[in-house]
Amino acid sequence: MRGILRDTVIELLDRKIIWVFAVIVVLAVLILLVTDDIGFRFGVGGSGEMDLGQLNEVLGNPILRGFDLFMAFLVFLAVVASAGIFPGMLQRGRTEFYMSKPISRASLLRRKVFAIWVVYGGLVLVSGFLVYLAAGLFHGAFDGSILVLQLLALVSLLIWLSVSILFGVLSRSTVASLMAVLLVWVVEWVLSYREFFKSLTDSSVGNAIIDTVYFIFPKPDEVSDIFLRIASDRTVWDWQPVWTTLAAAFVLFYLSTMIIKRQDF
Amino acid sequence: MQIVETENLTKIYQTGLKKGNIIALDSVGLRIEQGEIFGLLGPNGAGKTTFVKVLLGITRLTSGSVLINGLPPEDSNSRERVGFLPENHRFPPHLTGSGLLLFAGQLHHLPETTIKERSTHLLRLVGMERWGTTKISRYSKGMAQRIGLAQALISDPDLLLLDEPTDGVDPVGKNEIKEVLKRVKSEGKTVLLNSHLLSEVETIADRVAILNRGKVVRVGTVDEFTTRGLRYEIEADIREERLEIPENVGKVIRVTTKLLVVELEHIDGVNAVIDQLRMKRISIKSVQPARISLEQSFMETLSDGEERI
Ligand SMILES: Nc1ncnc2c1ncn2[C@@H]1O[C@H](COP(=O)(O)OP(=O)(O)O)[C@@H](O)[C@H]1O
Ligand SMILES: [Mg+2]
Repeated sequence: MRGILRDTVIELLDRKIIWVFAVIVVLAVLILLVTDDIGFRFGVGGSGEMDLGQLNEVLGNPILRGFDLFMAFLVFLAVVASAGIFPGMLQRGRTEFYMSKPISRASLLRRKVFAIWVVYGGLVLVSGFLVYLAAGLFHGAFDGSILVLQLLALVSLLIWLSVSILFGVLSRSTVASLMAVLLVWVVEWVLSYREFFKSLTDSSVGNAIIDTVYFIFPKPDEVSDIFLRIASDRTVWDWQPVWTTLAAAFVLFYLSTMIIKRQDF
Repeated sequence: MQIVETENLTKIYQTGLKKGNIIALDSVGLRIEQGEIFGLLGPNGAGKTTFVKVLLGITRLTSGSVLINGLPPEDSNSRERVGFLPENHRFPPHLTGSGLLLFAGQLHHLPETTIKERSTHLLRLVGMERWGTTKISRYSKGMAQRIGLAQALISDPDLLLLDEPTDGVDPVGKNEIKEVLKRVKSEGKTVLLNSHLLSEVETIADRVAILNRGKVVRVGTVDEFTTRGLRYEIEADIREERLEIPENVGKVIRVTTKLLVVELEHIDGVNAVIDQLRMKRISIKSVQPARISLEQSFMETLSDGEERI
């Protein structure tokens, strides 16, 4: 395991991805620095007619929202940056190196997925934490509930990795793997209009199909909304998207294992 | 004891719908004994690479059976004491030479102190001690080949599988690789050497098999390949060009003033021919079985096969 972790870190450093994250963190900190305190508080806290609690209930805390968006961006970067790892590992001439070692394909995949999650997730967390620290130092905007969003970042990364890795293993192509991620994102968005589609059809079978597809499909955006609700102390009415999405992610990881076991190299 | 044993090993690659299937290996039955250097020869596309990949479980066999140290390739333990140098390898380019050896050792579950010791030794063995800290992406083909050999040796393997090991290596490097292989063999290890360069295999292999279009055409010791039945070369001061030997002894293939080549019906014929020469007071300098190069033998074996088809 240590070998694979170490290799993942070295590859990350070698591909200069860490610098991309560093630049983004520096930019975010600079933006926080030049935002004047009053503007920040105004933008953040609101005030005036509506009191903070009310606003919070309607919009969610804007600091949290901003931070959530920033973390989502970091997760997106991590997914893009890591999408080439499996296609690279499985290319001809390279895969022979791994597969001639006394380690089963399933455990090779498992360990590599874990290493990617830990290493890229770690990068996202550290970047997010630095920006959070800067926000706290410059504007006193410390807020413990931000930890919930850090956890969300890890969960989202795992969900997206389940998609990018499955298609990376299947197609051995970085582009195809990223297209699949994009596709899942689009389909989730389309499925969010399922009530509209259901209103178009009278058939109960059609409705059942739409509901089933929605149920089994990964819903990372909804998961993200739920975490945001938790972070801003709002009530979560339905946990279904969280557990169905996690279940979908594990099914996708399982499929990756099955595929890598069957493939010829 | 056999370290590699295959029986009726068949591998069919399923390609695109239109092109149909490719039979890369067709009922291959080979046994490789512990401690020998075994050369697997054959033209490009014969199935040599497919064969080693099946042994390692990188490619799944279609039918038949394979045992490595008594274990099937699906069992990852079968690769515990196996080293592999792939053909056209692209080792993780972000690693350095030493980094590759460390990673290979870790994948073999070796403790780090053992890996460090062996790395130092192996880098010296393949003549790369100055390049351990350089990234693999900066290596030349020959250097990559040397580091590839070193990583194949990191587990102190009982079985070393080398796929075209001298590919892209300069003549000095080729000789060095040969020396390494001799050393490996002297430690009682087994080597399977895939090559289309016969002259290289000839000098180090104990046994060879010729593979053509997925089939084993011939297996034997290098001697069996390079001697030709009962053909003998007799070096002598032959003054008269007209030499005849009885038909039941054999026939003259070629005769010059210095050399007589005969093909005998029976091994005892050697004596009959010598008696005849001595009777004519011809002075004999040497008698030896006629040899051909492995290359020649290979070409003949392949063309025999063609005729039969
Ligand atoms: N992954 C693959 N998919 C389809 N055909 C393959 C694959 N690998 C090898 N082949 C085919 O199998 C045959 C044997 O190839 P190979 O084992 O590489 O031969 P060699 O190493 O002796 O040159 C060739 O016809 C080759 O085209
Ligand atoms: Mg080959």
